[in-house]
Formats: sequence, C-alpha cells, structure tokens
Amino acid sequence: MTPLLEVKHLSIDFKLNDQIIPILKDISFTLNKGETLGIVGESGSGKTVTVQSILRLIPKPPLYRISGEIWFKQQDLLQLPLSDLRRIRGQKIAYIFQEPMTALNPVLTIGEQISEMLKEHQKIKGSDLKEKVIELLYETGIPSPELRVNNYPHELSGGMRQRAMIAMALSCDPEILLADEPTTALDVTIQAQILDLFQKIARDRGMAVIFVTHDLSVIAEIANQVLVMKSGTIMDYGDIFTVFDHPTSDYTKQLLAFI
Amino acid sequence: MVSSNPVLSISSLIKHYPIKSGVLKRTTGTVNVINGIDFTIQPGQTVGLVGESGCGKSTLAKLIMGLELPTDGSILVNGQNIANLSPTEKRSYYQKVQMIFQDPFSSLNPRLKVEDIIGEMLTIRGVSKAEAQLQVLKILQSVELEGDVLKKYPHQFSGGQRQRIAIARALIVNPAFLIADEPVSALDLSLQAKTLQIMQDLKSKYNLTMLLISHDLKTTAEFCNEIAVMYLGSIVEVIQGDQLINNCQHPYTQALINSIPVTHPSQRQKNKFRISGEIPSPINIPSGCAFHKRCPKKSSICEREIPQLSLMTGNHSVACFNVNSGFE
Repeated sequence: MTPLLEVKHLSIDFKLNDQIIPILKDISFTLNKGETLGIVGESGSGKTVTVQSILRLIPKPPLYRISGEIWFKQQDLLQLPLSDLRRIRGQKIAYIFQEPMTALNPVLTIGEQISEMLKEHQKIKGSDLKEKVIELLYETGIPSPELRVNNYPHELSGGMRQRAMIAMALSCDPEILLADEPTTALDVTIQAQILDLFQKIARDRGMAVIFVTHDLSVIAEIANQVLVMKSGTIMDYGDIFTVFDHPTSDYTKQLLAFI
Repeated sequence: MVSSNPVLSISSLIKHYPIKSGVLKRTTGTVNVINGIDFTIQPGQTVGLVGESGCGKSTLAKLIMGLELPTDGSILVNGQNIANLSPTEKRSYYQKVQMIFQDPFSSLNPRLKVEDIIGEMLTIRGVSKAEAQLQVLKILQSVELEGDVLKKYPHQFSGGQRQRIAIARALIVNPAFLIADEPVSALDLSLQAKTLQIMQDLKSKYNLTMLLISHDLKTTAEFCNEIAVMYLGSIVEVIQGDQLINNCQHPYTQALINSIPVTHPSQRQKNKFRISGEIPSPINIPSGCAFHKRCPKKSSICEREIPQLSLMTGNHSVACFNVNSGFE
C-alpha cells in the first residue's frame, strides 16, 4: 500500500537578522489512511513548522530554504504551483489552529464562516447550504446547532470555538486533518471531549490525522504512530507501543518519565 | 491534624458581581462567583484548589488577598478579619500573606531590575538598602538563581527563571501564608517539574502554609496534603492528596480524574465515565445541586435541594446526595 502522505528528507532553514538558522533537519515520515500520527516536542522543537510546511503555510521571510519532498497523491506538494496547491488546502488537507479565537473571523458568524468553505469548495447553495452547516455543527457535538449557527466567535466558549473550527475543517471532507495543539488551551474535561471527538471523526470518516502537541499523554490517548522531535530532528519515530515501551533516545525516555 | 488556630478560616463566603446595563446602569442580574464557601487551612498544610476555568478559583484567591471585597461572609487570617483592615494594617497583612501569579511575564515590572523587584519588598518596610541586598542574594540562592542576575531586567530571563524571581519576591518577607495561582501552568513540562521541586523544598525550609490553585489534578495531588474541588463557586469535595486519584467520591471529581489523559496507550479505555457539556454560566446557576445538569448519577432530589459538604471519614468530605446510596 502506498502511504497517503509521505514526507522525505524535509529540511528547512530560516533567515533571521542575516543569520541562517536550521529549523528542521532531515525529517521523514509517512501517514496512511485512517491513521493518527502524533508529533510531540517542547516549544521550539519544530513540530508546528513540520505540519505547516505540508501545506506550505510558512511565510517567507523568515523561511529561507526548504528542501526534500512531500508526496500526496503522486504530487510533490513542495513543487506544486500555488494554484494547484489551493485546491488541496482545505479540500484535501485541512488545518486546525491552536487558538480558535485568532483563527476565526470575529465579524462573521460561525455559520457564515462554514458556509464560505462549502460555497467555495463544494459549490453548495441555498437551503442545502444551511442544512449542511447545521449537520456539521451537530457532528462536532455543538448543542442546539440551529441556534449556534448565528453566533459570533466571541459568544462561544473555548471548547465550542474549537468544535466550530473542527466543523469548518470537516466541511470539505478532507482526507487529512492537521491539528496543531487543538486542546492545549482547554480545560481537562473539555480536552477529553475534544479528543473523543477526534477519535470518532477518524473512525467514522476513515480520515488520517496529524496531531501536534507538547503533551505526551494526549498522544498516549489518541495516536497510532508517534514522532518525537527535539531541535528540528527526529528523536524517535514509530508505532505508539514501540515508542512508549522501547524508546531509543534518551530524550524520549526523559519525556516519558515526566508523565 | 486539627488545631484550634487555623491560618486561614473562611466561613459562608459569598461573592456576587452585579451586572449593570442600560443608560441608568441599573442592576439587571448578578454573576454568582462564590456561593457559600466554608474552609480552613491549618498551619504547615498545603492545600490544593482544583476545578475547571470559571469555577471561581482565582476569585477566591483575590478575596483572600484582599484585592476584592466579599459580598458576605468572612475571611480570617491568623484570626484577623481582613475585610476591615486599615491601610497600615494592610501593609503588615501583606507581610504575612503573599501571592505568586500565573503569568510571570505580566507579574514582574519590566522597568525594574531584579534586585529592585525583590528588594522593594524590604525597603518599603524600612530595611536599609545594604541589608536588603544581602537578603535578596540569599533568597535568590534558595530559588537556584545566581547573584549575577541582580542587575538584569525581567525580559532577559526565560519563563521558568521569571517564575522563580516571582517566588523569591513572595518569600523575601517571610510570609506565613502563600497563595500560588497556577504557578507552573505557563511553563514547559520539564520546567514545571523543576519549579515545583523548588517550591517543595522551600515549603519545608520556611514551614510555609500554602494554597495552590491549579487545574492539573495529577501534580496537585502529589504536591498537596489536602485537595478542595470547586464547581461553580462551591466546594464539592475535600480529600487528602494521596487519596484523590483512587478514592474520590463526588461524581464531578471522578469525571475530572477520568478526563486526565492516560500515560500509556495500553490504558486506553472504551466508554469512559465522561461528563457532557460545559460548566454553566455563573449568571444562571442551576437549581439544587449546581452539577446536576451534567451529572450522570443524578436523582430527583438533586434538582430541588443543594447538597451540603458533609464529613464522610476522617478528613474526607463530599457534597453529594448520592454518595452513600451505593454507587461504585
């Protein structure tokens, strides 16, 4: 079976104050259909840059040089013209940000924001549109979705906002969901609910998920594969049980000791 | 453990904020943040206060610090009611009670050097500058910072170092009682462990009485003698720290513990005991037990009456009607 996504020898350098700083050094991993890959590391380890580079979301500057290959459906995403890449962003690969309050538009209701996605990518119109939005909000566990569609982001709690973000990401039925610390800002009870939701989505839709977090116990809860990163390099990579039971690097051993 | 002179004694504490609206700013409702708390801390004890965000943990800390005034009820620190302190008494009160804030980036004055941030606490109280500097050096050592940090400004430090400066600032007046509001939640995992270790050492060194506010149940359970679990402005369970994980009785506490992510993938369970929904708004507190709308074990009485915190065994009290009626 060819993997859904294959990252080969990805290296990234940033240029800050005329200094070239290596951010990622030779990162390789694969993601299969229906699999959840957890990327874990401390702040500054390069985990966010890794997932952002898949959709080429890193601004230039600070981006200076990027090398390697990212294969998705016989296409190298790093070589793809921007117009083709736009058809993949959101539609085939969706991205969920850490802080939903800054990622959502504060002057549009969540209903309008999800409709925008459906109109742009799925060409859904009229009454079907509203129905589909409510259906998506319902799937992500927002209570009374027919009322919530008319709420602005500030009227929702942190957990609800994150659910709305997930609904938006699901709107185009993507094949891969990239989630960058989606539960870090939430209470432990709400985090547990959102993690349950991710597992349900991955199972029901057969979706592949890359889940970035600094919390190894969140990984223990939901991932099948783990990638442990430190200073832009891979410390450990493999099946979750293998990494948890037989970590190869001292760094992973240390992280495991903290939880 | 029971002594007649608790460091902190809170009785029937209530804090409501009015909601004002319209041109005339008429009161149109209240935010019920603290709804009747009775609570004591004995000397030398470390008590953890846990609960979801919005349950009133930080408001309680502000009330104890005298930064907010209670709507009703009293707070006694070493037997002294803090509601009616004169400005001079307040100054000596802060010699006894100190606080560490959650965010070490906003709680330190960016325009002061470390020696002034910490030393100010002493010079304000009439200690000479030379003497103050000696003491500052000493306290910095106990939080594992070198003397060369004295002339530096807060922005030159990492989050973990800043939080240690904040700890040093709180401890330099030799307080009897320390409130720590989420002292490590802004730090990376490895720094959390180190900072807590330093706090643990200082706790025994200075024989501190401490109130630790946190949403991290696991570390709180390890760090504290006693844990108070708060939900919507009330304490629903008080339990020994080492008993929390395995012996808690209130359905809310159990749900909190079940929400902690596992430490190994083999511990994953299907159909875990989860609570649905989110914490209700403190403007409209549900009738009866505030938790009944989310509680999987509610019975009809929960909707009508408010359960009181009652002693079960030793030091363990629970506010729930269903605790003795035979659930797991």
